[in-house]
Amino acid sequence: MSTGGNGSGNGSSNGNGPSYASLLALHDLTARLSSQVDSARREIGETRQILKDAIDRLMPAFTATRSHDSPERAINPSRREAFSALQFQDISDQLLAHAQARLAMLQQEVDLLMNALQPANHSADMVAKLTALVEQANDNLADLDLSHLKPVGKAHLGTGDAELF
Amino acid sequence: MKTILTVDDSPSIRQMLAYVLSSNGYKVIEAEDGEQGLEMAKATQADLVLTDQNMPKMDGIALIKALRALPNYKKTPIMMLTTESSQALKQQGRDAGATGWMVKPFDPEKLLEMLKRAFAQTTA
Repeated sequence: MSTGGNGSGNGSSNGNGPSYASLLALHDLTARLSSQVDSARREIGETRQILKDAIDRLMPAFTATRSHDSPERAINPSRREAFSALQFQDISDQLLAHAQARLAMLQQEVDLLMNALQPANHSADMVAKLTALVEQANDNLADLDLSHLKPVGKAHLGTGDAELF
Repeated sequence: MKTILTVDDSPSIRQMLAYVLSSNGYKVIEAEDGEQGLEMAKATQADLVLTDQNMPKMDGIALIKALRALPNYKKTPIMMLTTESSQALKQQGRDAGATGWMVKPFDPEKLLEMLKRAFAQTTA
């Protein structure tokens, strides 16, 4: 396997680029990073599903008691509190969805690096290739910060503001 | 009986709204995104529209713009009910023709009070 033109595959460098061994180590690192990010994405997905299932099971029981409430004051105080609390599944889900989107983007960048570092893709212009990839990744990450603004400002269980224009 | 169209991609939020509104004498019709909300609004004249902002296919502000372009929704109260609370987005909503803005999580009593005020504002 040739790397940076040295062609030895023994881990040495010709002085003009990274050695085969260092590229291989980087490739292994990116593979492990990709695997970890993928696991985190899946775990967030599972958490979202658990929260959704819990709410789906809770809501019918919660709303089925409608007939016991008086029409003049349909929402008793304890139920008002419960309503506010239940809405945090929706809010949490939005935050988790954003976290998943960020991780998906990170994984995409890591996978690009991993592919470039694969021994079969090593070439004499590895440094230039990697430099371009890193620049592109930095741009993409900057875009990610701009396009995935945190959508939810709530940090406590209080209800939100209301205004008529 | 006044008809309220609720537009939200979260089934649990739609269920909660249906519970609160129907318990208080409103007829509720539901849509799960802006596109469906627009179709339902065309098919059934709602007296008030309550919409989320972040939804697939068509967001809340786009829905408001589309509704305001319809002759029979020029004066219908349209409220935003969303987790979004930035002033910039509120201004966009206002410019699009929103009647009011409520940040989730909503308090059921506050919501009902706001709807009453919105209806009163429309008929005044």
